[in-house]
Amino acid sequence: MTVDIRGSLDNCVKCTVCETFCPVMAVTPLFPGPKYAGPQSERYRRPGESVDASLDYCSGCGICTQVCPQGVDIAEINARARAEMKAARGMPLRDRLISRPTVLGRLAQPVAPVANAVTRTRIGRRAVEAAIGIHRDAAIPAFSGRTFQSWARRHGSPAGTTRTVVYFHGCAANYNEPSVGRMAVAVLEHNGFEVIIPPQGCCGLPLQSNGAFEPAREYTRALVARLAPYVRAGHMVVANSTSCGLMLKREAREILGIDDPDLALVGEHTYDICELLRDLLDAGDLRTDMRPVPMRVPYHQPCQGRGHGFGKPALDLLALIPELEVIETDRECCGVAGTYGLKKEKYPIAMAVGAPLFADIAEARADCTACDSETCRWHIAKATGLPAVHPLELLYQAYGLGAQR
Amino acid sequence: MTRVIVVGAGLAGLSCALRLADGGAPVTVIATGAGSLQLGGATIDVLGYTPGLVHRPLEAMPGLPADHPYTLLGADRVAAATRWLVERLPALDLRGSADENMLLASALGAIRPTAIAPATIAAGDLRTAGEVIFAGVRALKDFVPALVAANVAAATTVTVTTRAADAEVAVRGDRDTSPLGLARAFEIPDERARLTAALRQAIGSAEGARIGLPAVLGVDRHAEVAAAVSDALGAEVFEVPTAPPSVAGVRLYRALIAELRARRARLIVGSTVVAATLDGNRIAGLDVHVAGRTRTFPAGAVVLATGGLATGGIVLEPAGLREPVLGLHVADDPGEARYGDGAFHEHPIDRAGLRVDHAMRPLDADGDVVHPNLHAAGALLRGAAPWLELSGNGLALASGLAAAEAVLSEGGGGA
Repeated sequence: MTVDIRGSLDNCVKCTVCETFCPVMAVTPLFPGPKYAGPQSERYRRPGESVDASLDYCSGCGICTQVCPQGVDIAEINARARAEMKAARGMPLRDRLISRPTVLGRLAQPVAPVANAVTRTRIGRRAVEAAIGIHRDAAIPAFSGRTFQSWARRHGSPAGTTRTVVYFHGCAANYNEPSVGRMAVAVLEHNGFEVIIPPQGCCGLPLQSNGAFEPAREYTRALVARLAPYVRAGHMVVANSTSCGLMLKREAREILGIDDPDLALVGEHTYDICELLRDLLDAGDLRTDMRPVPMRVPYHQPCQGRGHGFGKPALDLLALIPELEVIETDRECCGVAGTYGLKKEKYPIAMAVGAPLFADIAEARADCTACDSETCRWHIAKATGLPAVHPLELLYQAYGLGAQR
Repeated sequence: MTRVIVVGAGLAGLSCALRLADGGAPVTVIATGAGSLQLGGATIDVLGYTPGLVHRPLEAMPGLPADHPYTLLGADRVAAATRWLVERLPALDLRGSADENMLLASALGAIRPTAIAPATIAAGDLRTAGEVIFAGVRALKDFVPALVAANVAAATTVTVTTRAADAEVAVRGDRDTSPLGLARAFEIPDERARLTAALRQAIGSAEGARIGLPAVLGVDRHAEVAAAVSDALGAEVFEVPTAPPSVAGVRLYRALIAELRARRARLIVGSTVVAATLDGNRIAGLDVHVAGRTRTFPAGAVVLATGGLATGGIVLEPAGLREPVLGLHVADDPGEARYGDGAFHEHPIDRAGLRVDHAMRPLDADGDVVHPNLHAAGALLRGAAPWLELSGNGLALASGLAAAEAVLSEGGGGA
């Protein structure tokens, strides 16, 4: 299925609904807004020509496309125009680095203690900011000394499973938060899944959002080549990173323009982990043997989670946990939008975008925040001083799986 | 209990969903986009012209055609619906009732009869005589005080005297100031002080006059901003709803969403419903385009509030008018006359739409109920010409609530 993204701009009636939702435009005049940068400017753009650098201040949260009543693919138009802009004007070293988590991971993982020590110090962060422009206060994750893949190679699902699923863990679980990956596997196995964990790389999303489409496509194609044989064999794919899952479902096709039957097949059979578990719940097939988790937890659905269009399945799952008090927040975006909020010139914008969410969390006197996306969790945790967890971590706790391992 | 799904996030859909949630039904709103409330002025126009100017909407209803949706709903249901909205959204401080119309100035200075409006907008009711100063900020190019003042002065239906004032002041570094950008600037105390000082200077003495400003007095902190600006200008201040983005409309949308969230209703904005899954002739679920696939959302009852021809609830195709979600029968398709001209007059296509029964259930060409658990509301309905009658929001509200009541009386979709 090919998608006519650019053609959708003809549907724009300049109603400005997108402007009333754009979280970036609300806090800075540096970004003129989705309508102006999107359908309005697009009419003046020709391939290879970049008309306007203000586009770079779009965080790519995608809210504009979601709220557009006329079906204009505003965020996708802007993402493509950004790639043209980067191609025409060049891409800073910083953007080339932070958009390659597998490269960063491979470099940092063997020397994780040293890398983490450097980035934990004020002086180290100042040096990084001066050298490549990553803001000294931006939340950057620690690297794990052991990758999730190295754990997975020695892990086998227990006997007695009744169904299978292929786990697409993403770069964050592999290099930064292998514990989240292990918990995802445990929750799935607890529900009778044999979890297959093939070797896999980056989905290409950070490269895409930084405007480097050609290398992004290479990553996406390589990942799809890893996953497609399993899907053809009848397995579904589950992802716990909302944005990486969305890349496979939609963005690689609609933004990168990859027209490939294997991608379409994998996308159609990829499920967000909360989406999959909620489907089990609806089918009466989810284990609900849960112990109380007496905590007060605001739930923030990341902007990329909204992009899935399936609502907020995490809320249905968290509602099953006894004594867990969940507060649904209603903010469009935490501000970080992947790598946007890491950048020296954009970090203040990311903090201003997230400020209402951080205030909601502070007001809730919460124990921690729940959020599906890793970069959002890191940003929110840093800004609020409270831990931020994936909803599946709360399920893991409620199932009492920690005690077994 | 199986969820009730409301399709559409305009006034009909959101007020229907809120009434359902209040009634204890689990509700999910699914909408292609965030609706159209942000485009309007947050006024509830119940009935403004028939075709002469209407002063008392409820009393004018018996004179409407037999197939008008208000005739089906009855004046009592309309009155109850408007009362419900005023009471249900206290944060908006809505004023007025369907008993009588106030006369407001539009952003072009036309006289608009409307029944209900937020307090700061209702304060601009031009039935009250006296001097009215229309004032704005020149950077906001869609609000020209001199035009508003001249047109209001020329109107034969009101007797106010008017003058205009335009402040020369930069707004927050915006390249292209929109009402929303200006409203956000008004929420920042230093910016507000700068803007009001410039307005005060442009206005001069406002002794005994009311000051009409574009509706930009804050978004989320509206009450605080409105009070501060009124203090700073030393006069009673009212708001005139602007062209989109309409800040007053944003406030109404956010107020409805906040109440829905508080009632734990679910909102899925950005996904399009494309078909229904049936169980016999009942709707068992709606098929929705989501990322990567089409997903079926189980539904005990469905309310379709997707709007009329302007918003895609009805589409015009070479073969005629079509209801695109479920392929429902569109009544009163004027045939070839649909291509006739009719700018500024009633057009043959205006009154086409879905025919419904008293429970707001769509009927087929033979007049039979299509699906017993399907209801419709808002601009989808046949028989009205909202743009001519100034009846759009009143119809949306009254039919949305009527659909909700019908669903609740059938057991909230739990059947």
